[in-house]
Amino acid sequence: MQEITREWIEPLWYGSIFLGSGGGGKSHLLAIELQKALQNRSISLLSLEELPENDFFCGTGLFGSPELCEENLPSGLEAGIIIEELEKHTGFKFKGISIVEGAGVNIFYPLLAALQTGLPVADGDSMGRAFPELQMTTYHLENLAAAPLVLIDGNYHLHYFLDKQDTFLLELNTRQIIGQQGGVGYFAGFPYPGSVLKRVLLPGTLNFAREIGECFLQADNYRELFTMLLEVTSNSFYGPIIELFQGTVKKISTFELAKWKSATIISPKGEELQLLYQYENLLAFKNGNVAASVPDLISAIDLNELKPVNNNEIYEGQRLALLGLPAPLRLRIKKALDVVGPQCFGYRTTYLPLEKLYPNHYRNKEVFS
Amino acid sequence: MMRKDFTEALNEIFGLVTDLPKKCLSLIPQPQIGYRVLSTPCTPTCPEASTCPYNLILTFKLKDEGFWVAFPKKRENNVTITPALLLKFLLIVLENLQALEQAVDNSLVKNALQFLASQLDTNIFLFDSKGQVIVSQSTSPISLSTFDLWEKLNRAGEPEGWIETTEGNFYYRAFTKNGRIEGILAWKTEPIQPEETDSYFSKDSIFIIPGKNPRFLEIKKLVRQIAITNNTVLLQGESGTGKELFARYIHYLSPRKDRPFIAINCAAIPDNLLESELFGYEDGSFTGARRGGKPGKFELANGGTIFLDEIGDMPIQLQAKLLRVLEERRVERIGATVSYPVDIRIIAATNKNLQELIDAKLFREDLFFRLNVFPVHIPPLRERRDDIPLLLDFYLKNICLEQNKPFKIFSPEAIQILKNYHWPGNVRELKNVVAYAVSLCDGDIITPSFLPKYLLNGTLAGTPQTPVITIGVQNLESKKLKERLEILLGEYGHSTQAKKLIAQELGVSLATLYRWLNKYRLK
Repeated sequence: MQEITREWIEPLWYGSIFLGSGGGGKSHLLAIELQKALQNRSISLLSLEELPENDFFCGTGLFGSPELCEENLPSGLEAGIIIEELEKHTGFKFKGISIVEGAGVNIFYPLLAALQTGLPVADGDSMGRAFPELQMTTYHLENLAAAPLVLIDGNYHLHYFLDKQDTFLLELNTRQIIGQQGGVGYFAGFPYPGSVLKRVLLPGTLNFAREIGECFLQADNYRELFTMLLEVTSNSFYGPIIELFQGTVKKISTFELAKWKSATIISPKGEELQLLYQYENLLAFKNGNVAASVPDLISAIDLNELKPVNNNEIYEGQRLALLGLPAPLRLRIKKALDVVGPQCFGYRTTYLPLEKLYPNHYRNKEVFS
Repeated sequence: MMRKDFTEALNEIFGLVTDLPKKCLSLIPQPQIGYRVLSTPCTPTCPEASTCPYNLILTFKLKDEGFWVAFPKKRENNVTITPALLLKFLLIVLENLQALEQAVDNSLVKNALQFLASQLDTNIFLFDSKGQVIVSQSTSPISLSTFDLWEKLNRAGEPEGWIETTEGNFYYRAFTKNGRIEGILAWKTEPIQPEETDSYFSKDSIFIIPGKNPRFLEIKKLVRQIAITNNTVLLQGESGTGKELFARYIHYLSPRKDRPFIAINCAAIPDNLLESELFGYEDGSFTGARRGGKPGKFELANGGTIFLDEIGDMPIQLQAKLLRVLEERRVERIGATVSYPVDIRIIAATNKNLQELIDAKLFREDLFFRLNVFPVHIPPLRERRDDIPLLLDFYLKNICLEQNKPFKIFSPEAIQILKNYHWPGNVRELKNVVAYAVSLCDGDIITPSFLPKYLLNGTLAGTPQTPVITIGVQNLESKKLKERLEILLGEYGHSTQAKKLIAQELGVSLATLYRWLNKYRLK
């Protein structure tokens, strides 16, 4: 068991943005609140192996717009309310908190919930990165429902989804409510015992995010940063990062009728890369060819600041490096690609793993052959 | 100096007078180029024309210097020399000197050399006999002065070899004539670090040794630190722990990474062949020796790294020869009379306890101390069980890519079995198991049914907690052993190469394997 202390928050912050793959949102105020709260306290962090088989954990997080969350900061009280409500309706006494989306603001909200309830947090998540929809989880891949789920909207109204219903239907229903009720809400759901979480969750999310963030805190220059990130990611369930492109943002366009936006980046040599994104960075094209595709992560680094940035922070004239990070294998098996592959976002193509796009980079030198 | 030698020769050999009185010199007209032959008197106005002791005067220019030769009327020696003969002689001297002059400051040759140097991505210095730089190239700023380099080269003593400087190693060759050094060429043997560029699009493929176990991380850190030095490294660990991988990793992280990495397994080559493999041989050194000789592995590794695997199996008589290489960094081919300097980094590995071999007089103690500069012990997989899921993931991903199959994952039950197994064959065995499972499984998820049967039958040689050494296999119950052999034969095949691999995986000799195969009628 580890203890999450105040020192965790800053590296987690950068790690959460990197794993957001352009999306996932962020709330600086939430991070600062957590730092304050962790001044004299800590949160217990359990590795998946340490989870008690029969103890139930409750998944929690934010629905809707992280920006609105920043404007109307959650106090954590709502977490207490929804978890208690879920306990009431399921009859389970929760012994811990689990993370659904291990990126962006949804890494931090469960920590707030843990502080509020005094419960430990499980070190794992069900997305391995940021994804926009509720069914894009490893729970869904294992045919495990998100419901029973309790939602509290921006106006502190409670909504109950207690019957096991299809996760996509639940996604539509909750989105509808959030849209009508202030654009942001918090949920408690995914009530599963440790034995299930061990099978379902992607392990070590918080530690990985922290290690990624430490690279950003320690590196003095981009080369150093890249080398450090390469070492951390190579020894993870993801895979070694690769630099997809480096250049200056020339143009940002929005395709009004589609959900897509694009950023055109130009390298000093005059090469162009098009980054296509919705909430998250989903595709990159170089010279008309796919340079990276979802579910692999595409994360942008501001080269002047040497910090990861979300896609809503990209501006014309900005110097960026785009890094690709292979998604965990669990998100890249055939069954998972039907849920999180490029087609699920409207791009009719098969997924091309980074390792196949860049065989020279990924041709590992190892000798057990 | 040259003038003196030349005039002395004319004087002594031909009996000619070269020291003419000053008053004569003022009267002898000087040619602008070439030579001039004068019959005395040199000028009609010469006041001493009647008493002139010479009948012929030659005046010529060599390298901008004027020379005078007088043909005396009275000869002191008996050499008869006709003016025509002398002229011919002088013409030859002139031609040769002109050619020499051209060679000395021939800018064409120099420019061509400079151009050739610029085509090589390394630092080059060509010194003349006095230490003056004739041609040089520095692809990066170096703090070493050419004078210091010359001094070091001069002190080196050998006509060819390498010297260490603050700027890395330089290989040199001295050019001599009649025992005197005419010049020295020195070039840097290590690749120059590429300049840091803005873009970090790695042209290299990446090198990964997966593992996050705290002890393993310490070892990786230590290895990274020693990699950049030139020190000899001794890797110790059980079979399959990745000793060669570590050796390659060290080479990859060292400044020698673009130079050869030569690996040789001392146990895999018969004793009598090992010597010629390592040291090479000269033409005709033994019956059947290849014409023209053959370079040994040490020579092939020059500038790079040589990896001597299974060093504990090296025959004792060869150990002495290896010790000499370690001490002197020189290699002598079999049948050769001279030794060559080699610039190599040596990494040795063994899965044997060298101390025990020393006690049994099978390994030289002095060699052990030479090799044991940086001992690195690589732990067996059972001592870093926490890394098993990461290693499974790593190999699963890479084997799927290699075999061009869609990605797969292990089911939690399969992972549990693999985590509990004690892995006597270490990481190599783990990789083989993953490859086996990937080959059989067409779906997304590798369940226990796709794992080799011996894993499902429980542990191979006792409980997982028992520290199993490879010898443990011999204690196997016959049935389990037979089953394992069948599986391995199915996996690897029946070829001799396959049997070698099987023997290696089981940690037994090939002879033992054949004995077992006979016993269980598996041949």
